[in-house]
Amino acid sequence: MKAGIINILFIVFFGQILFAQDPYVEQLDEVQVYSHFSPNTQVGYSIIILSDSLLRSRNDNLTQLLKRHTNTYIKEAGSGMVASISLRGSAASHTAVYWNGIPINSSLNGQTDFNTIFSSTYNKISIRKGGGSVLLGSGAIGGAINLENELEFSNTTQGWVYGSFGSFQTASSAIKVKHASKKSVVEVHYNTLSSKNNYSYYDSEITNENGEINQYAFQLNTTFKLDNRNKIYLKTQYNNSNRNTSRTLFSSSNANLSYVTHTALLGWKNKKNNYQSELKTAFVKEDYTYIFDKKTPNFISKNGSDKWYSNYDISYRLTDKLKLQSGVNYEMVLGSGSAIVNSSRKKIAWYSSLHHSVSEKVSYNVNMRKDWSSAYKIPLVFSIDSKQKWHKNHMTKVNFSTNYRTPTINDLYWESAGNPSLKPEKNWSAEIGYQWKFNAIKKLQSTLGITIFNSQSTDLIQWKPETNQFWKPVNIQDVTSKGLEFSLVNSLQKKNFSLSSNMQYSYTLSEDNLLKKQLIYVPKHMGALLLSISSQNWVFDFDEVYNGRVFTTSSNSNSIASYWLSNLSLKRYFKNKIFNLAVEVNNLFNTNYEIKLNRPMPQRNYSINFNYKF
Amino acid sequence: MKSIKLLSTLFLTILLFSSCVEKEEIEEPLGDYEHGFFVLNEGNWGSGNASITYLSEDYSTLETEVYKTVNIESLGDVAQDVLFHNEKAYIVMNGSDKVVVVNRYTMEHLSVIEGSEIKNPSFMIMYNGKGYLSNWGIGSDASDDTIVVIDLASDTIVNTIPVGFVPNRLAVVNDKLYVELQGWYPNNDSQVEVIDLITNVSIKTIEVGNYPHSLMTYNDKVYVLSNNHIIEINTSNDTISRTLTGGDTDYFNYLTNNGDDLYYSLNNNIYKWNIGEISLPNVEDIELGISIYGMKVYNGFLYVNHYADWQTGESLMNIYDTSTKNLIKEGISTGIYSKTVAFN
Repeated sequence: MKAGIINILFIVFFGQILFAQDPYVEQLDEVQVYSHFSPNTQVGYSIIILSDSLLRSRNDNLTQLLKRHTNTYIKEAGSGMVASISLRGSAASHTAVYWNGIPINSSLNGQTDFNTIFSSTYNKISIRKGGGSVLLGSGAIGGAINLENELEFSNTTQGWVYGSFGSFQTASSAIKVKHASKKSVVEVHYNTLSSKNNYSYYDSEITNENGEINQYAFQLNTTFKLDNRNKIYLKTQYNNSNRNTSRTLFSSSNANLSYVTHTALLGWKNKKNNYQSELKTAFVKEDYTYIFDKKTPNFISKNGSDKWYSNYDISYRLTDKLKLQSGVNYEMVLGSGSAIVNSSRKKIAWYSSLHHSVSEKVSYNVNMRKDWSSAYKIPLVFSIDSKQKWHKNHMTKVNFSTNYRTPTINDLYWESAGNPSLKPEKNWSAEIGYQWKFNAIKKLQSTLGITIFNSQSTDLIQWKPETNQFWKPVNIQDVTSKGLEFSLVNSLQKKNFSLSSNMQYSYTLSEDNLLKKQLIYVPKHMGALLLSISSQNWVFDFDEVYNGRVFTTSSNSNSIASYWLSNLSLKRYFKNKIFNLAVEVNNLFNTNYEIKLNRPMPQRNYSINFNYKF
Repeated sequence: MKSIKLLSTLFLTILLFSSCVEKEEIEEPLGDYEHGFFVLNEGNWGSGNASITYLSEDYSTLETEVYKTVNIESLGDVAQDVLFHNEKAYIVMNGSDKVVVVNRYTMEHLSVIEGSEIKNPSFMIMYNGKGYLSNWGIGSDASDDTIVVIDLASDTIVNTIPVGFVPNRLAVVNDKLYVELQGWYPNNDSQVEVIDLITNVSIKTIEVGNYPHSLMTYNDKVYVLSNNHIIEINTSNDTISRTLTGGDTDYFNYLTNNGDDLYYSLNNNIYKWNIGEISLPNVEDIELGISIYGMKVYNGFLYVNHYADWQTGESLMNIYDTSTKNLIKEGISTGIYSKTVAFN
């Protein structure tokens, strides 16, 4: 409580007097590309880009990274356990996650477990809030995230080694080696994380038994320039996450969950004066193995899916102001396992966009998409978005989109429960955003952003008890989500000294249309503050997250309390910044908090890490 | 709430006093929860939010989370069954691997029965000063399933009897324990096991068909539900004496009786079969239309727990008069996954 008050004062006070820029969050992309995550083409959307230097500063998982830098609510079943996101009050399957443009949300449950992904494996992570099914396909309702490995041609050989040790016998490491020339690039990544994760539950005799985590990932990425117009690339990733599943305050666990993915992507980029095209073909394989009790390791639930995905995208410059973009993609998913009747579904999609820069001040896009699936009928979707630059410091963005999410393999084919007659979920979303850049005092750059959004989803799939005592998924729920997002980014640069802060706050109302109650596990209030001070070889970081109360029952009769969480880190650079050592204190004020009911999270804990570039 | 409770206690005290005057002795009330019944709420699996709701005899007083209120601690994970013995109540906590013993009138915590013998306990029955607790062990392991025998005077474990795959509901007739064996999905079992309680030895298994999921005893016979069948077991020779089959192939569930009338649920409605009839009814006795999660007859009234919300399991209770089929009380908000009802 006391810590909470101090924190409020801290935010109020520093929020008024500090103006700085989060050095890590880039607002614009340097290279003019036609990516579906590029702010240059997606003019009416707010896209946050987390860049290489930030991603490589620590070997976080995606959960920690997004909580710290993007004011996002992520639900975790205990520290390091299964984690699912809720963007703008939407369901976990309403954030579409991409790996180098390839959709990687599980075909089985429609979600990505954010605790299984090492963020430092990528050199660019883009978070695109708002509906985006037209260009991104199924599930981009609350938003979409792209994990990217950009490979740049330049004569360089470099490497990076990271290691960290912390409380609860936690050790993590990362190695990256890259060799690049003007013609080719090869890079290899290897990441590991292991933790005993045996923290004590506050106000209790119990520790987090059965919470061990063992994860590793391997990546090999390469690209070749065939000539000035053509290049090919190959990106591959193997990810192995093996976790015991934590006990709760009131029940023990001896279960284990393993999730292994193989992804491979082959692409060809071709460009001429007026057009550029990209052909991608990818394979994504996922395998879940759940051991109910490690004493009976033979009794398991083992399910997986294979996905083949191909996309051909072409963009054509009609005039300097007018561009056309169009693409087709084909997806085939095959699910199999102990609980899934062997099943395949195929989908083909076509999309087209018109990008128009009317003047220096106004630009807009019109987009349209149609999918045909072997399993269900997918509606035609469209979107429009626009940016208006009223003045060099004032900008507004608007967008409107219709979106969808297709049922998952589990929804359709789970043994004796799946419902093959499910329809896709439908949605429309709209937002208006305003951005103001200003200098309150000299050398101080500030950016203020306010976004208001509204989103209506219908035919949402819910598992519901049926007459024969079995549960069955049905298209039943309608949800209205609306809210406001506020951000203030400040940066002050002086010789040998810089100060930056990033404050964010969001208010989200997400209600079931029938009950008129806030959805469970969707906080109304979320806030984050990131403060960074650096002077010569020292960097001091402080971050603070406020997570509002969440309800655990549909009638909102029960809830989990809100909490403030603070982390601190102090970093020292050595030898021309090629080496650094950092000490971190997590949960500085020893906050007692739960994210999911009766699953206490760790109290104050420590870690040290080093970072070496060569 | 508290004032209502106080008032009702006062009222009850006066009632007791006035009735006691005739008997010329003064009886103290046994506790706040003496004149009413408990609804046991399973809670969400793994969330540790099991709870007990108290409802007074006349349905005027509803108090949720009574265990937590009295003992300032949570009950635990997945409350599966509650049984009375003398002044004690035994609450079987399936997810927390324990049996919580409380005073049935005051809800005050007395002791906890736990130990390596108890892993995933599900149902309990009392007989001859002993409690018999069905115990799954590791759900998926068919070799560690037992009946744990508890001495009810000392509340300690005195014996374990190995049984078949996933024992659940229990019944006792003539010194014999009848154990419903459900198996573990997808390996459903199809048997009722009979244990001699003099020797604590399994003496027979009776094949009753796929997935037995409700079992009770009445007039020295045992009745079991299996798919769309009601099976009657003659306990003198432990064989099936009758099998009654419903027209609908969906599962029957939640068997409970009011004398000769057996009630069960089917397709969200409630059916009634009189044991004198030779076939099952085609038409429901009471139409509900909502997924039922538990029901029980007591003193001619039928208490039906059903979902208010399937996402989080918030439940409602309807109370029917079995003689008139009238709905006496509708939609009492009882808790999360309300299952069993126990009458004090």
